Amino acid sequence: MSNERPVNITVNKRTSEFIVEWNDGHRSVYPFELLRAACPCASCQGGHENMSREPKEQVFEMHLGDSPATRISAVKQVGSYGLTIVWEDGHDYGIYSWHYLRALCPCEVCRSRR
Amino acid sequence: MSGRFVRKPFRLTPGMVAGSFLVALCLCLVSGAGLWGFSASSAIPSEPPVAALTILPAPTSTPSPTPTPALAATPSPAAPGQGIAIGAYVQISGTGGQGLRLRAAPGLDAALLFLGYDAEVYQVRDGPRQADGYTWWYLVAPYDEGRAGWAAADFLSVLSTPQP
Repeated sequence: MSNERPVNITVNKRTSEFIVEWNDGHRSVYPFELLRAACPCASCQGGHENMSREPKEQVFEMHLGDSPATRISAVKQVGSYGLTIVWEDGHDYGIYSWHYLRALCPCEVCRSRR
Repeated sequence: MSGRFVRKPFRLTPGMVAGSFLVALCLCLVSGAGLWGFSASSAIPSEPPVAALTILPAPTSTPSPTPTPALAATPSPAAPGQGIAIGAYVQISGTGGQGLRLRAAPGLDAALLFLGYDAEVYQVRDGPRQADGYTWWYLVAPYDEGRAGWAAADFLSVLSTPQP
């Protein structure tokens, strides 16, 4: 189990970027549309049987564009292991664990490890 | 000594009553203070924040005043089913939580394959076809090619148009 934990989280609605600074010094910059494409809830994943601890590779190829579904309204901490994102279309079921978020990092270094 | 014990009847003296009252009063004060302190210090600690969270708001535009045309058409948001094209990403919406039936072919009589959930995102791969009063599109889940079928456009909202 990974020990990565976020130290700082910045939700930049101007640039539509969700920025996480991790306790190991790594910095992840997630476009809002990537986070929505990778929403880990059962509904977005097409049922519980499709859920997994790590994001699917296809989410990196999805470009959902700008819409209420890809605009963040609020972010809430869930226990000490993750967070949930409230989207402007009202969707808020997905719990992004720290492990899932780190695995979703779109930077070249992290992507090359996948 | 007669060898017989004579039990005296128990009697409350004024001193005993006053002493009991004082002890009871002290107990009340001590327990009351304890309870107050317990509640004031919030016995159930909330989850401490793991990371500092900063939300930078989106810029608010301050449009300059423009002359209003006499008969300005008000653009309405795209209605469900509008703007769908092959390659676009669409989202299931408006089923009231009942889900959207994805079928093996266009039409209400076609075999039901599975239920799509509200908020689920699909890519449009084929269509449109007209059947039974509905416009049908062939949808494929981006993460699972096997999760695909024909769906009525009335319950689909366009997320993005296809990239050129």
